[in-house]
Amino acid sequence: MNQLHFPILSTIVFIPIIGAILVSLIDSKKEGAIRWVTFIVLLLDFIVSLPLFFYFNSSTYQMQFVEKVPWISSLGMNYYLGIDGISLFLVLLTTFLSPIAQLSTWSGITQKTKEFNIVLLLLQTGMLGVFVSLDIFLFYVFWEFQLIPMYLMIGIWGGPNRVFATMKFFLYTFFGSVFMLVALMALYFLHHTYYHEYTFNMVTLMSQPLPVNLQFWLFIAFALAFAIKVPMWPFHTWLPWAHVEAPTAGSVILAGILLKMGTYGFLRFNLPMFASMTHQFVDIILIISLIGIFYGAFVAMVQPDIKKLVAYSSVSHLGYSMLGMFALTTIGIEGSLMQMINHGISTGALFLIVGIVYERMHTRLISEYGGLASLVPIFSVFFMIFTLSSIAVPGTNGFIGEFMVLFGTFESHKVFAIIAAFGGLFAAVYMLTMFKRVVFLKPLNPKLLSLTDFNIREWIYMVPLVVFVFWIGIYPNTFLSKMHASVNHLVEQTKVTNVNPSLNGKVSFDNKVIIKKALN
Amino acid sequence: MNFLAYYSVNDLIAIAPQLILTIFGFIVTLVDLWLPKTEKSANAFIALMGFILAGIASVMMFDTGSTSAFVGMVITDNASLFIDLVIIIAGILAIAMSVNFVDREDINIGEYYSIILFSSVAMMFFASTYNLIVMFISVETLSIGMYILTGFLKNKSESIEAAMKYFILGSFASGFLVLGIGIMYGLFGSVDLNIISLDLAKAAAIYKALGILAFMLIFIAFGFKIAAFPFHAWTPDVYAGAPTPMSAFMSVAPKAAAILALMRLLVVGMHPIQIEWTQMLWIIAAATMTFGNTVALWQKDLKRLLGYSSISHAGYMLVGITAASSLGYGAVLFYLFGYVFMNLGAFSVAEYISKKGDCNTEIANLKGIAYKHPLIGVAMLIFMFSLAGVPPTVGFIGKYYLFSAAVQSHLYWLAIIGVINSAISAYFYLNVVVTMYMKGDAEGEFSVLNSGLLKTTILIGAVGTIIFGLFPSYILSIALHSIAF
Repeated sequence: MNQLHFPILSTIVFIPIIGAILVSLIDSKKEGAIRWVTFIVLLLDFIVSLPLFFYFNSSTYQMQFVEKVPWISSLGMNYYLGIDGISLFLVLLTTFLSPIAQLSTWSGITQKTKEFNIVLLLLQTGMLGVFVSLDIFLFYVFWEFQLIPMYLMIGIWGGPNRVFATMKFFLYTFFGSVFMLVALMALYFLHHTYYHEYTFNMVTLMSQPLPVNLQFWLFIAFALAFAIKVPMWPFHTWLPWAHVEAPTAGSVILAGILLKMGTYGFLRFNLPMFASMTHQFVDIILIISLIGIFYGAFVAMVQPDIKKLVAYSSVSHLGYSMLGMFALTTIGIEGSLMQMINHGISTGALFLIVGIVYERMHTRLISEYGGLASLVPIFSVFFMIFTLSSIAVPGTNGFIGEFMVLFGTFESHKVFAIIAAFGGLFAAVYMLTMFKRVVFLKPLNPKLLSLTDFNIREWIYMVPLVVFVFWIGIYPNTFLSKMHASVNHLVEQTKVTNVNPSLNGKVSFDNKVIIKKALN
Repeated sequence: MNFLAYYSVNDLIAIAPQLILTIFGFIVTLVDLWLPKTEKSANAFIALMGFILAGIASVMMFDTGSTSAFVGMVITDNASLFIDLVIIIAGILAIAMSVNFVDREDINIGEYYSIILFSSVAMMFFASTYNLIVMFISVETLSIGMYILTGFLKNKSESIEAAMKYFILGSFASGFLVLGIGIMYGLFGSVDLNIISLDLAKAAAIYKALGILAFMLIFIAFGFKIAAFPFHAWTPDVYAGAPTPMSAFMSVAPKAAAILALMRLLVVGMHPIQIEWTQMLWIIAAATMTFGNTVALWQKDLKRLLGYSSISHAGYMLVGITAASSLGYGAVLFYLFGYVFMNLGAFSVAEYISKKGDCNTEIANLKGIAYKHPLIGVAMLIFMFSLAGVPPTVGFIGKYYLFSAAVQSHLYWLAIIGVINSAISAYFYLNVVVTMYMKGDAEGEFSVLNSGLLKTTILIGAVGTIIFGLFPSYILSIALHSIAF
């Protein structure tokens, strides 16, 4: 269904590439022009994406704004785009956060500005492509493609240990996704064996059951790729490095969008495609998520570096998202989705806040700060809002997400929900302690006296974030109503234990059975 | 004896690409005699013309059906024409790389180009026959050309050493080959793979066992040609020592020919012992990939790195053959096609940073090239990501098909070993990118060989890598469709 009769998704995905070409034509000395063009392109991308929200039909779970063109037709691959209530907000979050992230770089990125903006635009295309692809192969292409710009962004504009951080980031994620690649191939051929059709169509694959023993391996391979991306404990070790070394915009995008690709992957692949395996794995994943929640919180408590603290808090927050998702209830999954959006906004904003003081003071150590409330009051107010939203105070977005996750989990797994609720307590401990030491007390560092408050550019990009903190916090229905149909459908899909009893687990392909026997 | 009773004009038409290259090879040799020393670049032009005409001929002959010429000794089919094209593109790019290089290194003589042409002819014959003797003759002819080209930098000791190494090891391989062919002939009384296959199928157990032995001896020679573990040892030294354009050429063209010949040997000739050779190939493919990639991790020199990387790529291609399905064979052909662009491109960048004496190709010397020569940097970035198998490049699509063929044939573990290898290889390919982009700005000088032709080669490589990565459909369907055995 494409209610606009216009390839709007392709337009959104490829506007940044056109922007990148435009930027590459500008003389690299004209940094102002480069920044403006990039910003306008990203803003335009956001504006073009708004009709998705207004024309979205919330009464159906069907894919919308669909575009389908044959791509590698001999093998059943299509250029197939579309969104539903699950991907809608991730697309919007991407187009919304990117211009903000770009604005934050105007004074921070002074070296190789042109290259930076090109990389940022390419990254935007990669991320959007992941969220709108409905062909698994296309999905994989975008999934891997976005690694390249992110890798360059951390590696070129990052901190002192950037090379190590960027290598770790790339190799970890690449390692995870190659398993997804094998699983994807297996899925493709299995589908052909059982249904006599070569297809990478996600919608078809989602609705057709497979034998249990095969689901087991496929589930693990996909889960590994996504767990590394989320990142779930114990696959999280690349994240603090990447976050700490990345430039501010990189951290914002990493936390705000890239990590969501992992949770999105679980929602899109593991839950509907391997529903019966999902039920088998629920307990394991819930336990891992719980460990993530507490581990992230405990490690965050002892961090001397604000950015590292926020990075570890991501591990904890995404633990909630995973918990809600694998509660497998409508509220839980919606909470999980809300938590993804919230984390994008709140943690993204916190990284921006850290970036703002870092640009002025060139330190991120909590011990170097103190007393900012009296020195830079506006900054402190914003900081407080995002801190409160991060620890889920009612009235802010964080509360809605966390509450829904816990509520949803309580419906199906009471014990897990009760344990998880304590996680919020620890979040308050580390966030508020950090906030107290940075913003209150007396100024510890005489250098802080020269600190200046927000400039106009910073106002411009912080205000929209605050608006969303309260919008979601006070009236989340704007968002929830659009998700409802799709999430309900997803829950239905996971309820049907999708094992096809008529299918025998032992596969026999058309040819080469003999070889297989010989090899075993 | 009536010559025409055996041979006709049709035979010559069937080998048109080879014939054109032979003629141009002779033209180069002759014209070279009259060319003054300053005008030697005309040789390159003639050689290019030869390759282009041969390319046109092979494209025109495509899809005209399988033709058997010279009483069945040469078979021209779509697969061989496809490989002809790969060899031709490699030849064109290698010659474009050579023009300024040979001037700088003072080896600008006509033989350089005529040997490229003649050895290309041999490669084409190698790829288009089911006859073991024709295979032997063509493999020897092409090898002699390669030995000479490897040692062409006569003032550089590494080059001479590489040629010696290549020659001695190559002779050993030939020895095994001819021994294998001899046993095969002794057993079945034929050197035609079709006949051998029929006889092997109904042979008694003892003869079958001997047949397997003969096959293994023949395989040693093929393994040597495609640099499969454990017959790979010559590769890094030879690639590092040979003139850079020839390393580039050698890493693709003879390999392409050998891979197709190997497929003919395995799929047609050794069909009755398919179970045995899939098992063997499984192990060799896994070992080749793993060895190439692990050792490449420690390389400091770009040419050596590409040498080890080419070993691992041979391993990837063997995965496609091990899959033993038409998807696998088609994937191998497609991979070779893509490999031309990315690998020649990467070697061109190695040449771009090289200095007189064909040295200075350490990876460290790439430092900062991305900022001094942004386009070269981007091109190299594309080549490295493509070799590592990251979308949207041709390297990714190629690997995807190879591994998916393995999955289709239920070789899950081989596919997993393959993808883990991709992840390992990402490390050293990315290391090159790190050096280019993340190790500070360059103080060093680049582009001693700042020729338009070299830059064009790099550009063609980069554009090809991306275009065939985004739109592989056409070439892929040709590759799949070319496999008729």
